[in-house]
Amino acid sequence: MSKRRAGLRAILKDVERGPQRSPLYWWLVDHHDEVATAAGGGRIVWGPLLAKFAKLGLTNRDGKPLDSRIASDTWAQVRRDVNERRGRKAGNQGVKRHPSRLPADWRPTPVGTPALDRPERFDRLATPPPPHPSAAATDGNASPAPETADGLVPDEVVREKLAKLRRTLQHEDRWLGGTRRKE
Amino acid sequence: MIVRKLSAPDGAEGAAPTRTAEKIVTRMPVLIIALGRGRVGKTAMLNALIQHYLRLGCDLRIWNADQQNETHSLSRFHPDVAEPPPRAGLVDTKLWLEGNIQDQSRQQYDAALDFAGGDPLIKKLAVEVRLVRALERMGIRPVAMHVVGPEKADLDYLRQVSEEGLFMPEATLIVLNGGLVESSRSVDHAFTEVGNHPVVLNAMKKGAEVVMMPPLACMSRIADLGISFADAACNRFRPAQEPLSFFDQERTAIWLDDELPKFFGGIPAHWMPRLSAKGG
Repeated sequence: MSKRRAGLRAILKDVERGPQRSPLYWWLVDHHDEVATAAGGGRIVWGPLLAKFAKLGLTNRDGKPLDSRIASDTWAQVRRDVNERRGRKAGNQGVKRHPSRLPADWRPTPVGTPALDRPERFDRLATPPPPHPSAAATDGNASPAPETADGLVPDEVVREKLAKLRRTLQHEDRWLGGTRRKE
Repeated sequence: MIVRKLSAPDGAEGAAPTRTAEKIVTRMPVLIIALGRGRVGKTAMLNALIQHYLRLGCDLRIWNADQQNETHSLSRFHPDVAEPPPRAGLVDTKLWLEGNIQDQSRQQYDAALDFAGGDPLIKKLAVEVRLVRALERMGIRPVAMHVVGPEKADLDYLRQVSEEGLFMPEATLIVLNGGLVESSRSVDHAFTEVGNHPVVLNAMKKGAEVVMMPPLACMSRIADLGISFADAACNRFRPAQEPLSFFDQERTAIWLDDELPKFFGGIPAHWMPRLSAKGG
């Protein structure tokens, strides 16, 4: 490659990599596959890496030191951008942006900021909650709660519901362990 | 098909025809009304419900009659909230609500209605037009969602509307707001008195369901920011906003991802907004 050609490429790279992205972003783009392979699909613990990033001169967009949150967000953005770019290159529409499984008529919240990171776990919100025992399996038809002749719910049913509620409340207190405070 | 006995009309409706004593219980659009005294978390509860079910693709409209709450008003979180005219009095608000109910009946969507703490409108309408029956005649299932904290006084509103028979629809939900318990206290202990109170037990005898809304430690911080729970969990903030701490983002994620679905799964499905075919 001639010096002239190399110089042109360097200029084009500078044009492509404007100041709107941080040095960390471009470093992660350049090393996307190695980082992704090393992470093995798991979550990356960024804290121990921050000092190494600093040694490499990698900062945020404003030239300030990184923190774990910025590193994590940047990696999420890089993954999405790289996948999209590869999708376009492959001739398809690119990797679909999250929330990929939300229904088409989902209404956005009025925040108005671009989506930065939507972990895949939130796609599970598109799954409806399990049906309550009193609801029939058919679409919305209700199975009425058992009633006595006077139209009231039997005492044993009330007791069962109270016991279930109690278990829910106790579950909330599980962090207190065996020495649950009764203040 | 499931059939259910209905009480015969008592004749107080004048020209109302004598209806059969049986009615097929089918899926009806719901009008979920948050009730209770002030500062018990009615708006927060409704906001969680609305965000949860909108994300599931439900056709849920938001009616905000709470003109006192500006900082944490539902109108701050959702772009298309219906509100009464500015400075509406009781009469104007009743007319506004009546128009909304007629529209809901025609268009068969679900709706959630927020009131200021202790608002007299529901009690007034309950006396004037027997609100439960009036809504049912319009083909709408009223859902009374009483939000209470751990104080006995939080049950006053429920006592008034249930023991006096004012507004006690078949779908009556008592929500113990776990978020009102200090984080260092036992939730179980905090709600012992309220959970076993005769007002609650009588309501349960009449078919009310009691559930506990899971607490979210950073709820008020998110409400102050005026952003959605999903945005808070996913680190999406407006440019000038101080982001939630990393732990708070994780707390919000767990609450959204695990706790809210379990919570709403514990409520009879036909009391909640209808899930779209796409959402399940």
